[in-house]
Amino acid sequence: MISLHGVSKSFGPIQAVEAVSLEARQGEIVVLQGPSGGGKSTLLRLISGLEVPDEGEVWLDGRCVSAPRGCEAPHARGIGMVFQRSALWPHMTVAGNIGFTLGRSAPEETRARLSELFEALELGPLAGRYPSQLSGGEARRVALARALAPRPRRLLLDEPLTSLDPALRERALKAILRQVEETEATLLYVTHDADEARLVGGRMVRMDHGRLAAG
Amino acid sequence: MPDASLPGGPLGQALALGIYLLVVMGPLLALTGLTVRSLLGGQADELALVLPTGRRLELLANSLALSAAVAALVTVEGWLAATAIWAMARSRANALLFLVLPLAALPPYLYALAWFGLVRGLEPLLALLGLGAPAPYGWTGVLWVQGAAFAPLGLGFAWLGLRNLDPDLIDSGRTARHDAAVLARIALPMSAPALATGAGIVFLLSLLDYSVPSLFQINVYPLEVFADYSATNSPERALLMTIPLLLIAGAAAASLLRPIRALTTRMPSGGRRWSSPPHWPVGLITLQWLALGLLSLQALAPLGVLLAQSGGLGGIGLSLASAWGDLRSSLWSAGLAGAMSALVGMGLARRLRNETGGGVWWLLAMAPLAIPASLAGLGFVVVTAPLEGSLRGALVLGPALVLFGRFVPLSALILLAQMRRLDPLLFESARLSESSAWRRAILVEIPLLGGGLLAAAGLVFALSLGELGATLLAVPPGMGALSIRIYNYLHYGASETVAGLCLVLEICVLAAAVGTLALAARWERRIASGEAG
Repeated sequence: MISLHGVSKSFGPIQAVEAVSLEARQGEIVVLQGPSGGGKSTLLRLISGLEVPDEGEVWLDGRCVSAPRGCEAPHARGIGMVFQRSALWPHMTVAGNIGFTLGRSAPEETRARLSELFEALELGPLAGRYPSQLSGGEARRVALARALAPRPRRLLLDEPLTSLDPALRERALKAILRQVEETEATLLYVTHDADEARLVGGRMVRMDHGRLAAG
Repeated sequence: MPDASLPGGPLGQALALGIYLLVVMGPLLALTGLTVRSLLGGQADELALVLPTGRRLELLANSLALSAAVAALVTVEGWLAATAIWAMARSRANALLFLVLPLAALPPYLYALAWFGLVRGLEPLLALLGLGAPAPYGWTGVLWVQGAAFAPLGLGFAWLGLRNLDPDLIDSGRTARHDAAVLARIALPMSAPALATGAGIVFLLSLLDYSVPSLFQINVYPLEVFADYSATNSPERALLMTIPLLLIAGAAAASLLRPIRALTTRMPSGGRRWSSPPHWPVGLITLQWLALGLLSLQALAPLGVLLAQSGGLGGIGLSLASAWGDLRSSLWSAGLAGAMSALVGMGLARRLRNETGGGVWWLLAMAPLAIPASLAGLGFVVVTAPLEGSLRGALVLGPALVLFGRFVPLSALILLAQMRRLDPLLFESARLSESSAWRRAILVEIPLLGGGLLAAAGLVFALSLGELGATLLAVPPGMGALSIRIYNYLHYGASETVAGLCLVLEICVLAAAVGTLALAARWERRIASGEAG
């Protein structure tokens, strides 16, 4: 469960997020929509612990993980995240990028999980390639696989299907939703695309000028 | 991109490259020619000097072991300290860097004097405690002093590597793995080119330096070459003896080409770093703060010691009066070397920018890093030996020319990084509106590159002020240099005068480094905000 209580964040004179309160139950899907610069990405970063709120608190599963006075480490929050940019580590192969998020899992487990994801997101032939050898769409699928790999309890996806062609987009979305259903993960999904938002389903929330409004 | 889209046009570039080859490679070629002639003229038995055996082999091994240890120490210490600074608030980090990084321009022998003084100052205290004073000689002393002298450089390169990291790459790791794993598996390998460059440069500086080992009464290979030249006055023997060192240094410099190219290709992000504080294990934090503390002590203690030893303002004034002529010569030579390095460095940087294929120009441009300072000085002596009559008056330019030859690669690298940061369209649009390459250079290109030019000139000026190895040989009779006077005094033990002179040198070097750093940063801000150019 993700709960935000009056969370605010500003960067210098820019108020990116203002007094946002939001609750997402375990297994719930919430689609965040709104114009660019509306604060959606900052909200995801606040939940993941990559930003410290100026005011308010972030709670996960009943414990306070972020407050102005301190934060729990991002990796301890059980979060899988896709950023606006794919942000793949250039010195690791596709398999290395995804494998890194699996930490110290047993090698057989890692191999099994990788092949599952390679199949679901059609990444098999790319396993040994480096990010510089991938197209934008391929890099996006790797970023998505990286977020899904550890089967996190919370998924924060920022425009995860950008650069994918329609057929791939549909299959990748199916893979996301299947995992959400299997793991009962909470999904916060940011998209500009109204059709994509409808396909994702779940509760729609609109965000503009750093504030939330139920959609 | 075609050549003509960058400063000076093809003619300017050809002129710059010609000056570079003439000043840097000319003396070495002349020295090589002289040596070959001597070998063919019946001195063939001297060829055996190329192969180090017995004592010389031992000295070469000592030199290698020392420089490898110094490079490893400085790199590890610099990286740990840089990671601590990386996690600090921006204002604190900038203040600390501004305090420590300019110290990289100070000559190593100055650190030696300061540490000698500190050990001597501690003697009474240690005696009270019933302890003997640590002997400031031997390998440990050289390792410590060279480590201290090059620590700001290690920090600078480690910092550059971390600063250039894309923050999103760090953040995407942080949500999945512990911050320590992110540091080890993402930040460390991605900043490896900067670390390798720093380690390589420190290795070369340590390998080719004889000033500190000689003060600590440790014999190393470059000192042996210098001693042999002093005894025999034979440049041919010196070149032959230096060849093993040149081969090792050349291989080290060549191995640096790839990381240096990678480093100058990456755009410094300068953007946000850690948006939420990193959660590192206590052990790592302890190591980071130990490294930062050690580095601060190594870098800043000399200033305090010299201040305490120099006898106050009166003492400094007396020291200054006694060496005023030498200081003036040093300022003149360093100023000329700085100005030449910036202008020629611009042409060299442009050539490196357009370099494709095997990278011959990269090899040529980085060659001075692998040439021992004394060999550069000797080459100059050989070239200028035939000058007679009024032409010998031109020898006053000697120190400036050898200093330019030694440090121009650094200015070229600064300018290359600067060129890569600028939008090529800025130069292209100037070409459309102005046909004269020289007018374009003066009105558009030099103002755009002004920050880099200032930084390049300032760095070379600061490094040149304290340079010893090449200056020692290139200074003509009747002309002095502050570095030579200090080095001569140092051999007679530290005194108030030498501490005062070192302090004057330190203040001049730091003022030059800090001043140009501040001016260059201000220029950059003005360019970025569209107020200049």
